[in-house]
Amino acid sequence: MRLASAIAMLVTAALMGAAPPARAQTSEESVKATFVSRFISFVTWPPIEGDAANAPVTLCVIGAEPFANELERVVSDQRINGRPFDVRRIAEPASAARCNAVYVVGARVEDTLRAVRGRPVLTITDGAAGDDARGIIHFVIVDRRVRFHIDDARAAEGGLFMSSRLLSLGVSVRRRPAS
Amino acid sequence: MKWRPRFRFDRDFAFIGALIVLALGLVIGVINESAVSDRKLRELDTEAKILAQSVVASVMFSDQVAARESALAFSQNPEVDAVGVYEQGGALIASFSREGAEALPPRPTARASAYRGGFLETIRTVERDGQTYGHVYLRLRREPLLARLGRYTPLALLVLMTALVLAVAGAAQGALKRAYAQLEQKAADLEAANSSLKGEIDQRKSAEEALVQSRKMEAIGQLTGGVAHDFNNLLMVVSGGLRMLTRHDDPERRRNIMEAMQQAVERGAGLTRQLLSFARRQPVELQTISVAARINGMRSLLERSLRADILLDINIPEDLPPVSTDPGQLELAVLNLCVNARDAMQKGGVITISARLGSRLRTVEVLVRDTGAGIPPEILSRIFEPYFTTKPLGQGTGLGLSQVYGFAQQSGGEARIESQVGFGTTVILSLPISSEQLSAPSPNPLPVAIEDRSRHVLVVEDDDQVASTVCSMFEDLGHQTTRASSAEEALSALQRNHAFDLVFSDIVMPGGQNGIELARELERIAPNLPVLLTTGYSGHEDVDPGRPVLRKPYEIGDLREALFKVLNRRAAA
Repeated sequence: MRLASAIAMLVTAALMGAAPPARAQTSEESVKATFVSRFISFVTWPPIEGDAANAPVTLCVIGAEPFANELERVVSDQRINGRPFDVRRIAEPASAARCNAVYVVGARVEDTLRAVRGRPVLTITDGAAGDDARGIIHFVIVDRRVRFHIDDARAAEGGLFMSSRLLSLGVSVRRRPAS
Repeated sequence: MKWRPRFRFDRDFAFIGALIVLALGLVIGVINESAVSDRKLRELDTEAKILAQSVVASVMFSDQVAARESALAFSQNPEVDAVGVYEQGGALIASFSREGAEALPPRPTARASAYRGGFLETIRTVERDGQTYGHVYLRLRREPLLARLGRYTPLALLVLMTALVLAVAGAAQGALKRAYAQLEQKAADLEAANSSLKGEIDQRKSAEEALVQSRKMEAIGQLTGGVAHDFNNLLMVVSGGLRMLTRHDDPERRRNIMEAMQQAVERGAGLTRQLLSFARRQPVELQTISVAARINGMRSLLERSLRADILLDINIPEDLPPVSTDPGQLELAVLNLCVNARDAMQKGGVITISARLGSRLRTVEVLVRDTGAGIPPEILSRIFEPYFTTKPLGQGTGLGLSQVYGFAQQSGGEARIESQVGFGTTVILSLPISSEQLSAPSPNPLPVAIEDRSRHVLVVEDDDQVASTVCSMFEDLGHQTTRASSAEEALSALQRNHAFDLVFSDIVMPGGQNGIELARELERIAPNLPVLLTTGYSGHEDVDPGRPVLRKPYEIGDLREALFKVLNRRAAA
């Protein structure tokens, strides 16, 4: 617990600078929420017919209410290429297929991953939360910092394209098969 | 005064041209440097952009390791002095700076790319899809001043060389101009020097003329003194003789006195002849003569002229070829030389007269050598000048050697003198060998037959005394005379009486016609009437050729001879 608190403080300090760590527990959540919102910049979805150019980016959260709240807070005033974010709390893994990205923790991880496999959905799992199953992006804590593994092969299955800039930051990267 | 413009186009133009080239070089350098600076700034911007791009993911995901790697990647560029990567909140998440480099700014404050000190620095936002996530700071080292200057070395050299060439060309042009001006000045100086030299030459010439004139005056003084002295002596003899004739009745004594008087008159005549000869007025009568005969014939005359302490040695080969010369003048020259030699030997000595074939072809040289005092070299060059004499006033006319010189010249030969002080003097007369045979030695005896007849002579003479003497001479010769004192009188006498056989006229007569004009007039009106002219002056070169002229002074024998020639010619015609 002390360790987590210290990590949270450091990360908060790194992200917010002089901003005081108001809620230590949510700070790690906050970092992850920020990261999630930022992953969108480095992922290219296959074009979807009928989608407007300024259609909101749909971020779905399964089994993590606090995180959803935090994510909502982070993206509330953010836009990406003019597109706003739409944070949805969903219960059914099958529903995740309609999302651009889905953050899933807990019991529904594997179901969700199975449900969106082969679909253009950026799956984000969280090793820091104790889950072993990995989505395209899998958070971990390395050197008291939030880092992530990337499974580009899985991304390729869904037709997603991961920016090399993002790939270069992965703790590990599972490469997509050479085309 | 020449107008000299203050603006010397050539030189100043070169100077201004050099300045312009320098200024242009400077401007080009500055423009180029500013362009380089701008480019550097743009490069800095680009670098910063690349940096921002490369660290965008690292910043967004707070990956300090990746950010640091990106920053280190920029350190490969040696110009990069410092790199900083800041998160949105301002925290520095990665940095790189060279050893001794200035610290990075603690917080990024957006600013434009700019030079600061020896560096260029910029701060750029890290953006992704329109969102700002942080900042990057990039600081480049400015190129060292020397390196920057080094870049302009070729340009600077080129500009300097051009300016130098222009300046040198201008200077050379200026120097050329100056040299030309100096040359002009020198030419002007030379001209001035030349004209002043000319002036000096003129001055010198007039000074020389003045000197000649003064010498002439001095010479005339000498001459006058000498002639006066000689004539006084002669007049002494004549006047003394006349006085003695009135007192003595002894015929023997009277004959001696008259002989002395006659000699005095002859010497006077010789003196005037000598004077005329020096004035080169005496016409030369060239004859072919034997030098040996002529000079040997002079022995008694010469011995009488010398003193007892002087030995005369005449040594002339008889077989020398005859020469062409005036015998009278030759005798006079030899006499003059002997008298000079005598005067040069105050303590006695030997005069040697010799002759030989000349060193020059076809000449005979007559040498008169004495053992006298000799002549100093400084005088030797003047010795042949007319009127030059070393003798005291009244003892010489200064015409002796001048006569020798003039006579030699007129004969077509030359005279030269060799002398050594203390040993004596030798005068050498060089005379041309005659191409003719020897002339008859003496004039023909006059045929008496022609003149046994009495003639009626019209004597035209303005001087009463001379007229009386001449009339007496004609009467002595058995002729009858009528006297006219002028040409006009003679013509009127002729008109009255046509019985004249001869007109005997003086040439110089005061007023009206002179003798020559009278003779021409007579030739026109009475072509058969013989005319004999006479004169004491030799200047009448305008006497018609062939017309006989009897020169004064003459004796009765001369008159008879001339009369014979005139009448004989007339008879022959």
